[in-house]
Amino acid sequence: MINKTLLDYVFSSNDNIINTLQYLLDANREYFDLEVATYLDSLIEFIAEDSDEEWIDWIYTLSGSKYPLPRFVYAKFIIREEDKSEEAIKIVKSIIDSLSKVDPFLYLFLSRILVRNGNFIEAGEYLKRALLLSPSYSFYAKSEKLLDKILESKNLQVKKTIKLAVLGSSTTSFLVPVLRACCFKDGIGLNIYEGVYGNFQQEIMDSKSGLHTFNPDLAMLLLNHRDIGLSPLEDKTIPSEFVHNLQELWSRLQEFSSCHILQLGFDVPQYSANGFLDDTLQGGQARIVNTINQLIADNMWTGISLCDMNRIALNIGNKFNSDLDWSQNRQYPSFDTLPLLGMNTAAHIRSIFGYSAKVLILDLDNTLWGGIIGEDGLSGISIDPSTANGEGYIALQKYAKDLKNRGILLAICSKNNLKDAQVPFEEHKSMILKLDDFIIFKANWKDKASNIEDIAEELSLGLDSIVFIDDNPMERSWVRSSLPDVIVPECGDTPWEMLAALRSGMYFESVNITKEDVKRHDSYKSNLDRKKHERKHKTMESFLKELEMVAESTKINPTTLVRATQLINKTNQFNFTTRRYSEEQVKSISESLDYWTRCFYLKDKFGDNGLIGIMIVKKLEESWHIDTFLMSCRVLGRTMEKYMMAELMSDARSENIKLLTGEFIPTKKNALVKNTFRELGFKRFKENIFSISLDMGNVCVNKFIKDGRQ
Amino acid sequence: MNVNIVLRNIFREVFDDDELVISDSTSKDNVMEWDSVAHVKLVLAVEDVFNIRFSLDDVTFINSVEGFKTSINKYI
Repeated sequence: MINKTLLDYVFSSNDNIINTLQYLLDANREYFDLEVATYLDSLIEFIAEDSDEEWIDWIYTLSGSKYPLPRFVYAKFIIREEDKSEEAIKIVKSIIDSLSKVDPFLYLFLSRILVRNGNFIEAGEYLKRALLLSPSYSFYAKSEKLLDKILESKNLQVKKTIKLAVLGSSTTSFLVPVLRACCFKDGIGLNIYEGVYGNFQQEIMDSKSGLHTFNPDLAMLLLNHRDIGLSPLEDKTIPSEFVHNLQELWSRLQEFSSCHILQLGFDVPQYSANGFLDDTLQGGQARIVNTINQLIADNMWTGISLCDMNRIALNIGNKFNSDLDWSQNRQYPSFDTLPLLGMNTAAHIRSIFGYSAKVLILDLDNTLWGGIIGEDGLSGISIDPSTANGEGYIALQKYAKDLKNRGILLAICSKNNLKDAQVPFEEHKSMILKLDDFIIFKANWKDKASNIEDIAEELSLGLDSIVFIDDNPMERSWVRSSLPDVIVPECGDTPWEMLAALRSGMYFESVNITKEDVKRHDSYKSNLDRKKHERKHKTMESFLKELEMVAESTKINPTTLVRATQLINKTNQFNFTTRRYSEEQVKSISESLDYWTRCFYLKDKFGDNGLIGIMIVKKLEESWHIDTFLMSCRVLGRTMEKYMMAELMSDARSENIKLLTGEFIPTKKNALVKNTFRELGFKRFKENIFSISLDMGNVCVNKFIKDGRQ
Repeated sequence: MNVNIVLRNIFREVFDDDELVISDSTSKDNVMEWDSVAHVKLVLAVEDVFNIRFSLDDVTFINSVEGFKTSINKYI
């Protein structure tokens, strides 16, 4: 194998270096290590400085090679000496395609040439791929400046830009670029305010501070055990008082900015002079820290999320808290921990702002069980608790079932005969998952990307809300390239690896679990039944009549706040303005006299859909303006929008309002409502503003939905 | 391992400059971007590649390419 020492030796010899190198390359054809390759290139560069034609001729012969190392050396050469970046890009891409495992730094290298060439968007895509491989901190340090260039490019599209305040009692300058990269990977942009080092309390309290002016959407509070003032054997800190002080900081923060708060939990010190007694003594450090974490969890309110630092520490192990990093740089947690902390923060951000995944699509053969059901038969497949992998398949199924119970939808996408594929679910005793756990079951011979597209369409959900798990790397790469929005983790081919990929990806996090979450599977299921029912009916009209729909509404109030916020942040299709509001913001709107707010509920003979629509209307002096008008995609096409509009009109009339105005802000996903205002009787006022006057006897009639309050 | 080459590659990556040329006299005083944050990144990257751990004194006293080389030579 070629390594740096061997290369040193070759280059220090006076014999024919080129011949020896050629021999090495021939003898190690498939071998590719990026570090060694880069080193080889630098040695050649040094030699070539006083070079002769012989070297250049030799490097040119490498261009015809099929193998990665010689092609890499050639690509490096033509960028350096001839500025042919386009040809180099092609070569590096082909090297990437030929490797079964790609070094994140190779993506970084490609990304660098692409930026040089002005292809910022593509450079960003490759940087995202690298970030999905969970690289070490050094990757973030080395890619920081490049990412800044990409982020500054004008064409870059992000789903959302969040104003994040990073407040801490330690250095945050190394964490910030990691956070930026982790969120970039999810298509979320960050506008970051870094608190003045060690000054977070004053900044929160002082209304003239930079933090107040910044007015964040999310504030991250990164504290550690040193802030508690622990001292062995002395019971100086009273946990309840400490947490009370935290609560004051939270209140003050939300008072001026109505931001969401991400409180990092406190780390248990790794060692204590109390030794074994640290957990049991009244003043034990571990005991106090654990009590504080518990009190935070018990005493926080909605609009605050807790990120458990000790769980992160568990994943990092001994390198979590480096005394050296702390004393040299006031760095907490250690540099080695920053990437995982970044990933956790990004997952929290996804969940807070409504970008968590909603559907898990699973393959069957060698994913939910070992073996191939179509060939091995029921007795041949492995899902046996007495073997290690068999136990793995059971664990994976249990994990999926737990997700389902928490409101995540499960679906199957497998290349199989439908009959074969369903047998294990019906007959195998060890199977945890049953057929009715799946909202959709696709076992056929179509390609997986089109099956996944169908699933998304049937559920009316976006492709970016789907996670796909398959043991076969070919299938993964096919889906990844044809549907880049679908989340396809690099998940190995054993059940334990797949389980680890699912867990560590944190795709399905949520801020809290609502009643609707727990019922989601049933509600989607009855919706699909309804669709089937729809097909049997002759006309849409009779279908709607027979649904026996009953609707109700309430103001947005404390009991509906959580679900309302969830809908506001999640709904993409039937949403006129796609305005996102944090829970705190929704709360203050709902309490304000300047707004008219409503939550709508819909029941039918198949079941209760729960809270499915939201309206937020700003009351102006003589007219009312519709700020937010949205509906869950579960109840589209049921004329519910007419019911909602009728209620708004009648309430506006009773307050002598003459004019209603509404706005349609087009996005990638809401083309559905482009004409809805017109259908509801509105006229175009200008551009995307629509209006309807209320004194002309305009009404909105719905024929199919009864009022539940009557 | 040719320390010059490896150091140059690290400096190029950290400062995101493909054409950066360094010499022994390259130091905090003549490279504007070599601030305390960049310094930590350089130290971490060098430790990573050479698989060594600098002492506190090393980290404090290194302020040039020559300083890096002297410290690296103590460990390899």
